[in-house]
Amino acid sequence: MIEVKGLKKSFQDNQVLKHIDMKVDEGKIYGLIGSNGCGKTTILKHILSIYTPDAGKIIINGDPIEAISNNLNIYFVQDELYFPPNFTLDDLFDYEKLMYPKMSQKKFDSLKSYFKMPGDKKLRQLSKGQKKQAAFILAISSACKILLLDEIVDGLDAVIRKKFWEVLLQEVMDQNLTVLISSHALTELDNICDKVGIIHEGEVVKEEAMDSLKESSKRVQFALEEEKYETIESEKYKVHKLKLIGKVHFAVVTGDIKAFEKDLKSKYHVILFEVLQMNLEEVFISELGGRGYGNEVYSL
Amino acid sequence: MATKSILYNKNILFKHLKEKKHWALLTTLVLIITVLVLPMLLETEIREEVIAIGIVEVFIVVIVNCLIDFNYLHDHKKFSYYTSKPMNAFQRLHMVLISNVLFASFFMALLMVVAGVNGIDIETMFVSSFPWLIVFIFLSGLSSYLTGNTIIAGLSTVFNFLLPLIVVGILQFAVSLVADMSHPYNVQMVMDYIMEHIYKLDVIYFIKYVDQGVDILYFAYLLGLLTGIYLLTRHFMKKRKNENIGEFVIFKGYENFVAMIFSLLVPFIFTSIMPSNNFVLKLIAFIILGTLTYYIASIILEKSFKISMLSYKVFAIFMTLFIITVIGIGTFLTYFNDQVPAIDDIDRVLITNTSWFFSESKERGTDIQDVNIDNYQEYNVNVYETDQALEGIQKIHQGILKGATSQFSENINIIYFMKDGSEIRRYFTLRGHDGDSNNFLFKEGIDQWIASQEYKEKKMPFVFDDTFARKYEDGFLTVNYENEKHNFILEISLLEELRTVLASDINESLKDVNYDDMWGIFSSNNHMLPGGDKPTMEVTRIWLSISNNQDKEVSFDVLDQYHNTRTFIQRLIDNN
Repeated sequence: MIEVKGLKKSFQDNQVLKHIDMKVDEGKIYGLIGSNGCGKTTILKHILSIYTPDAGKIIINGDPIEAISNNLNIYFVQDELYFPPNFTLDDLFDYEKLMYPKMSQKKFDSLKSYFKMPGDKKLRQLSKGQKKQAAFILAISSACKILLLDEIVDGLDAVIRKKFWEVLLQEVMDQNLTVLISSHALTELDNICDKVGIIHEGEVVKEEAMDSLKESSKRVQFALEEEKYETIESEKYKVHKLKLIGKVHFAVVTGDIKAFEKDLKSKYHVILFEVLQMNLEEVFISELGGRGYGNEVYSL
Repeated sequence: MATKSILYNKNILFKHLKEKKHWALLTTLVLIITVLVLPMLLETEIREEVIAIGIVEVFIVVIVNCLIDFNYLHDHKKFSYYTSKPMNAFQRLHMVLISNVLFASFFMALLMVVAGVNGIDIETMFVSSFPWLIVFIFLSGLSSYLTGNTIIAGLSTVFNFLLPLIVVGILQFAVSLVADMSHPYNVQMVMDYIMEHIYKLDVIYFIKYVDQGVDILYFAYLLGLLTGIYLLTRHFMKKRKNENIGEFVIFKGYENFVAMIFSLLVPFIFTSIMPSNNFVLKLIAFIILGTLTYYIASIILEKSFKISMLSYKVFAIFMTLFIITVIGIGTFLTYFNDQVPAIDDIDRVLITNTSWFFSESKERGTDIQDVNIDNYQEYNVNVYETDQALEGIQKIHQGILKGATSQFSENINIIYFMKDGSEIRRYFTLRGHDGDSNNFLFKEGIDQWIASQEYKEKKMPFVFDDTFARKYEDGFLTVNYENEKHNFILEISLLEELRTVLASDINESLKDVNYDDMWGIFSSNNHMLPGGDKPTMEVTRIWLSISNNQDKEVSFDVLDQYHNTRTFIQRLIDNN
């Protein structure tokens, strides 16, 4: 389990992390999503002690990271990959085996074969997607209990991505892995994450289990007999992003949807009222849109 | 299964060493060609120079290797990769240090064998170069942590290695400023003392051990030095802000420190090229040049023409402190400089233009700083205690303070041994005449001092000190005249006659002394008197050597103006 409490970090005058609280449960997949430059990678680097926090604590399996002598149980795949020069995948496996004693040759061989990865080709000669696969193969073979994956599917084609998620889910189930993924591939995270944390401008604006996150926000479309609609408000729910197309109003509502429907019907003549499930991307856009992110209108 | 220790991962260390095989082969090849094949081809012996070339090659290879090995500290991707692995920062540091020390030691040992086989003194070649190499390895680690760029790390390694030497330049610059302000106080003497006794560069750079030989202190110092660098590295490792990787310098403090050092060093170099004795002008030049250098160094290190406010503040504070320190020390010295002790408080006084004395009994020399009331006799230093001499010296001291000059820049050192057991030391530098001479300012003091019987007895004991002269009775007198030697036995009558004519000439000569003859007047060398220029034509020169079987030989020139003595000698030769 990874717990981040009150993490703050400034890079010179720029406060990148204002206050980060998050909890990654053991044996679960945690999706770290957020706007560009919101501090996702910075959080991962703090967990690995690459950066030192200005304030706050990071606790891994009950121990503060300062007390952990090395990252024996954590494997990090960074967004911008680095491999020692002139190494092949096989060389790198041999090298990393010296550091990760439980590294599995069997798993390494089977993953190589599954992803059709050449073991004897210099890593620097591989494509970006192949490099990502190589890093992923090593991460899974390391037998580490915690995986930190930064933009891991970036550069992978749809088929490889599918394979990739399959392997990851299988390993989480079989090995009880704890996975923290930072990604912009929200559609895919939607299907595999147990929990997500939405980061914006250095703060966790929402952290929830995937099920309850989707439950708490709904897309509602309704049509009224009346021409004019004035927003209704209540403590039980909140209406975000209202938009009118033709006669149909589109809104994102969080909270008690039934109460909203009741209030709406008591005030207006409702011709149509429909509640739709939101996917992670819509939740993300809605959540950040409510904070003014991406609401700008392009004009020349 | 990997064998791990707290210090390093043994398996990874072996792997790391294995990865150096290409470098090792290349280095071996280069050494074989330059140290063995080329001398054979050119039919020359394998001499020290050849081994020195080999050492330089090993230096270059090792430093390049260190910088490559520490390069992960200067690249975000590499740093994240290695830091995320289950090997902590200390283990990584140890691994690079150990592997490079082993690598360097192997090739230095190889060169030692080649040197030994060819009869070259191993100590001369390796006593300082080997620790330099190991220190360089450790410094490359420290510099790599301090900086965020590999090229800058290399430059920083050289800078840190040369720092003790650079500090000397800066001290020298500060001393020159203080000296200008507190003229005629000879601050250089203080600097020399510091360099001789406190800040020993030959020890710092292991050069002392080349002559002295290796002993336990050598190893203790090397170990201490490496431990110090290692602890500093660990300190900076813990404090390092890795998000600044890619910047030239990671630590703002180090950045400012480097800029400050350069802001002192550059004015020092410029003022050395364009010397001036004017304190105010020199200070203004320093402020202008120092500020400009600091700004340029800061914009390079910060990679921006707009340097941070912190850098401005640090510089302002540093500059203020430096100037206050210089002016403070200058004022302090000037204040004490102006204190001339009262005659009644003085027990005896040493005055000389030399700063180094030799003891025949100890067979070694000493600096004036180490001469004291207990040992001055061992070094044959003249010390005066009669009232006439003391008054004269006191007036000389006052004359120096008023700005007396000499023909050329000259040091005058005075040590007062006080009746209460204390010492008052004054080391002065007289400026050379720049136009009008100012030596009239101490003329009265010199006249009074050299007219004293004590001065004559001490400067010319053979002539004025009866007890001294009696030792040479029945000794030998050798007259070197017109390229011929004439020998005489110094019977009592001849001895006394010679002393009488010499005394009359010297007394006469001292009435019309050349005040620019600082060596003649102030030198502690006995039997050397002021008297103007020595005869230039060898044939007209008369040189007396007087000896007996027990005491040391006394020899001196018979100056041109010693007419009575010259006539006496001429007659002596003719009669012989």
